[in-house]
Amino acid sequence: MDKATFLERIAKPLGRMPGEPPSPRTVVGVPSFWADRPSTPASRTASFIERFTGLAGEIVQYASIEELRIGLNHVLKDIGATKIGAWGKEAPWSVDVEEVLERWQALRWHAQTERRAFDDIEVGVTSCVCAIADTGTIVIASGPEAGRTVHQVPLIHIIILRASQLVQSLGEALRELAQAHERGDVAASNHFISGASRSSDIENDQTIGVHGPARVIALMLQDMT
Amino acid sequence: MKVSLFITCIVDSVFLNVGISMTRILQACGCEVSFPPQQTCCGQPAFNSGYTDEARDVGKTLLEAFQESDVVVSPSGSCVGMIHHYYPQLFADDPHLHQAAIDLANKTYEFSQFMVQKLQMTDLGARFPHRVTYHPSCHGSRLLGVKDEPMQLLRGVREIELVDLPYATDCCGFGGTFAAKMGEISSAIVEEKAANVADTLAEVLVGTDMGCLMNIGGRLRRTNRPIRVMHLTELLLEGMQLGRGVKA
Amino acid sequence: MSTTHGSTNVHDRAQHALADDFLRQAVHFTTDRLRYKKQAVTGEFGNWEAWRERGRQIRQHTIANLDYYLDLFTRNLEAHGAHVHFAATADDAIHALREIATAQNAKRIVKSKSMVTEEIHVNHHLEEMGIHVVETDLGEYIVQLSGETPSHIIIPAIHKNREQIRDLFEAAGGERLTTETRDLAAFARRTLRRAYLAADIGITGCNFGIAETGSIALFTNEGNADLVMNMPKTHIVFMGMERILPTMEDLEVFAHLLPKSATGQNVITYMSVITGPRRQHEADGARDMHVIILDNGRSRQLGDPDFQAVLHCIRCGACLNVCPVYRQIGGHAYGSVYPGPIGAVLSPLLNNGEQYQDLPYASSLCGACYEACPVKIPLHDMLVRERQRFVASGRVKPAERAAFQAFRQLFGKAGRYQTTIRIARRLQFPIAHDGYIRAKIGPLAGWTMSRDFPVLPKRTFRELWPELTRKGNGRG
Repeated sequence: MDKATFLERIAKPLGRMPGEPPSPRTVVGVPSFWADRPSTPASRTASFIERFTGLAGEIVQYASIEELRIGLNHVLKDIGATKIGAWGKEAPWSVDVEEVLERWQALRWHAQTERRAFDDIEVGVTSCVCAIADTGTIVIASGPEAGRTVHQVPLIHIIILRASQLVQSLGEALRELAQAHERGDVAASNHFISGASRSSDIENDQTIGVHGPARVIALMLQDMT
Repeated sequence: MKVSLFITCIVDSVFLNVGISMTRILQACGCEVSFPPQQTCCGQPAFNSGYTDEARDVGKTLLEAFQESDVVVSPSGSCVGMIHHYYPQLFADDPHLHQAAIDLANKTYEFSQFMVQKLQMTDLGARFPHRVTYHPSCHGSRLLGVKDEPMQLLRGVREIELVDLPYATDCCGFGGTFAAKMGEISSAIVEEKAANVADTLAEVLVGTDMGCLMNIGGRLRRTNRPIRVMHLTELLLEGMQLGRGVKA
Repeated sequence: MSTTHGSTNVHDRAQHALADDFLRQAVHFTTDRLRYKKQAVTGEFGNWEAWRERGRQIRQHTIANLDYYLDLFTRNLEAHGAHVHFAATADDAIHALREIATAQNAKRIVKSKSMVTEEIHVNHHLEEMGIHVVETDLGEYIVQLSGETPSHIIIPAIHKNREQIRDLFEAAGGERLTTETRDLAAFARRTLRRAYLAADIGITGCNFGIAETGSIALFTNEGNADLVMNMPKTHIVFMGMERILPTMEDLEVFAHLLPKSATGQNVITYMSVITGPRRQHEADGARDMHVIILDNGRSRQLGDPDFQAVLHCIRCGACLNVCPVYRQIGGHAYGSVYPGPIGAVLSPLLNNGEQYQDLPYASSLCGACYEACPVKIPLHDMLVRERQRFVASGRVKPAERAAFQAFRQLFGKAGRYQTTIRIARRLQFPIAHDGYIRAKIGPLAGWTMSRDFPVLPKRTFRELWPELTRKGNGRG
C-alpha cells in the first residue's frame, strides 16, 4: 500500500487531516522530579560503579593515563587471550592506549576491514561515547574505525573511558543522540550496554554470555578529582 | 446519621447474617438505618456479561430505591464499585437517570469505607481471640480503592491474631458468571486461594465481599478444610458482643 | 494464528493445560519471579504511579497523532537510506518480505524475537519460500526446535524443562549434552553463531520507532538482535504501526517502564538504537535496511473510544504475570499469538471479533492487569466492552441471552424478584443437603464441580427487616 493511503487510513478515524500538525504536547520525556535531581561528578562515579558492578560488570579506576595503560596490559595478561580485536587508531578513544594494543598485536578495525577476520576474536577493546550513572550503561556509537563487531562478537569486552564521560541519566545520552541527528552526523548504531549478555530462558536459571560478551570490563581514568 | 442499606441480592437471599450484622453495627454506632424495599441487584452479572440493557433495567431499582437517601451503605466493594465506576456511563443516554446515577455514586459507601472515612470509627470495642486472615477482594480494593480500611477495622479488634495471607491480592476466581462459565479455570484459581488460606493456619477467613467468600468458603467446605468464613461485619459484631464495648 | 493443541475453544485448551502439572508449576514459578522482581525494582525506583501516568500520557498523545508521527518517522528513515514498506494486511507484509528475499536471493535468515512476526507467521511463510530460518533468542530457538509457538511474550519457553531442552538441542546438533544451563547455553551460542555468519538476511522486530530521528530502538538481554542486524548484509525490521514514540526524550521514559515491567530489571542489557543502514566507510552493519510497517487490524481501533487505548500497549507482558487465569493455564491455552489479558483483548480486535471470541470470557475481571500495566490500559473494562459488542451483534448463545432477559424481568422489580427467590427456595429442596448443594446440574455445574453452593435460607433479609427494626433498634 502506498504511504499516502496508509496514513489516510490512520488520520481519518482520528479525525485528522493528513499532514496536519500534532495536537500540542502537555508532557515530553521524564517527569521533572527525575530530570531535576542533583548530580555531581562524585555521585555519578559512585552510582555508575554501583550499577555497573550490580550487572556483573567489572571496573577498575586509574589516577593517570600511564596507570591505565599498565592496567590494560595486566588485564590482557590475566585473560591470557591470544586473539584480541580493537577499534582503529583513528577511532574516538577516550584514552590513548596504542602502545598496549600494539604490544598485544591487536587486530585493528578500519573502514576496509573484512569483518570475517574478527569473527573469532576472544577479546574486544573499545572506548565509548559516554556512560550513564543511573543505569550503569556504556554507550557505544559505530563509526568507520569503531566497528560494532569489536564489542558484539567476543566473549570479553574491555571499555576504556574517563570519569568525565559519565552522565547522570539515559535522557542526557539520548538527547545528545537527537542533537547528532539534527547536526546530520548521528551514528548508524548507538548501543546502550548494561552488563553482560544474559538469558533466563532455561528454567529461569540465569546464564551469561549467551550471545554477547560474558565479561564486560571497564577501565576508567579518574579525571574528575 | 440517616443511613440506607444497599444490602445486595446475595446478602438478601443467601447471607442474611451479614445484613443483620451490618444493621446492628450501624445502629450501635448511632445511625438511623433504613431499608428501601424497591432495591434488588446492582445489575453487575448482566453488565459484566455484556448485557447493558438488562443491567440498566435492574440497576434502575437502585436509582429509585435510594433517590431520597442521604447516605447508602453496602456490605460489598464489588457492588459499590459497580455503582461508582459504571453507573454514570450505564445511564449516560438519559439526563435524568444519569444525574441520579452520579448522585447515587456520590453517596454510596462500602461498609468499611463508611466506617473509616465517614464515621471515622476504627475501634468498635470488639474482642475476637482467634487467628484470622484477610482476603482483600479485587473489586473493592482495585476498582473502589478500599485497600486499608478493612485492616484498620480489624486492627481495632482486641486479642485478634491477624496473619498475612500469602498472595493475598490474587483473585479468588469468583468473577461472577466466570465461576460457572469457566468452571475449570475458576476451580483451579480457588483451589490455590483455599490452599493459601489453609497454609496460614487461621481459624477464620474474613473478607468484605460475599461473592468471593462464598467461592472460597465453598471450596474450603468441599475439601474439608475446617476454616470459618466470615464477612467483616459478622466478625466485628461477634467481637462487639464478646467485648461488650459498644452495646450491640 | 495457530493453536498448539488444535482445539478450537479456550475451554478445551484450558482443560489440557490444567492437566499439565509441569506447565502449571513452571508458570507459577516464572510469573512469581517476575512479579517479585518487578515489585522490588519499582519500589526502589520510586514514584511508580507518576511514571505510569507519564507513560500513559505519552502513548495517548502519540496514538492520537499517529499519522503525523509515522510520517515524520518514515521520512527520517528514508533520509538515512532505509526502505520503508507500508503493509495494510498480513498478506501485504509477507508480500514485501518475499520481494526483498527474492531480490537478495536469500537462502538463510536469522531472526530475533518479535511478536509481530509471530502475528503474521513470518517463519511459516519463509519456510514455504524454501528459506531456512533460525530464531536466535534462546527461548524462541527452543520453541522453534520443538515446533511450538511462544507461551509467554517475554519468556517464550516458559513451558519447557531442561531435559526437554537438552533433547531438542541434541537432536538439532547431533552431539551429547548435559542438562546444565551453562552447557545448553554454550551449545546455543556455538550453533547460533554459525547461523548468524551464514545468514543473508536478519529479521528483527522493533520495540520503539523514534519519530524525530527515524531510529529503531530494540531491547534484548542476550545481545542476539545486534548480531542479527549487523552480521547479514540485509536487515528487515517488522513493526506494528503503533510502535512509535515522538522523541528520544520520550524513549527515556520507556527505557525505564519496559524492562522494569517486563522482567523487573532496572535496565535492559542491550538497547540498540539503529538509525539507518551502515554509513559510507563503515565495514560492518547491514548494507540494506527495510522497515515493514504493519496495520493488520490496528487502524480499526483508532477513533474508537472503547479500544483505541489498546494501541498504547508496549508488549511488556506484565499483565500476564499477574493474571490469575494465565497463572493457571499458561499461554498456549489462549490459542492466540498474544496470550494473557492483552491477548484476550487484542486478538478478537485484530481479527474483527470473528476468531477468539471466547477469549474475553477467560477473565474474572479482577483488574490485576490494569494495575500492572505500565501505560494504564483499562484491560478489564475492554474485556467487558468486547462482551457487550458480542451481545449487540448477536454473537452469543440463545440460552445465555434468554437467561439475562429473565434476569432483567425478574430482578427489574422488587416484587417479582421476591417471588423468584421464593420459587427458587422451593425448587432447590430436592438437591440441597446439609445446607449446601453439590449436584452438578444446569448452569450450577461449573460451580459445584469443585465447590459447595449454599442453599437459600428460609427467609430473605427483606422479609426479616421488620423484626430487625422492631426488636433490634440498637440503642435501646
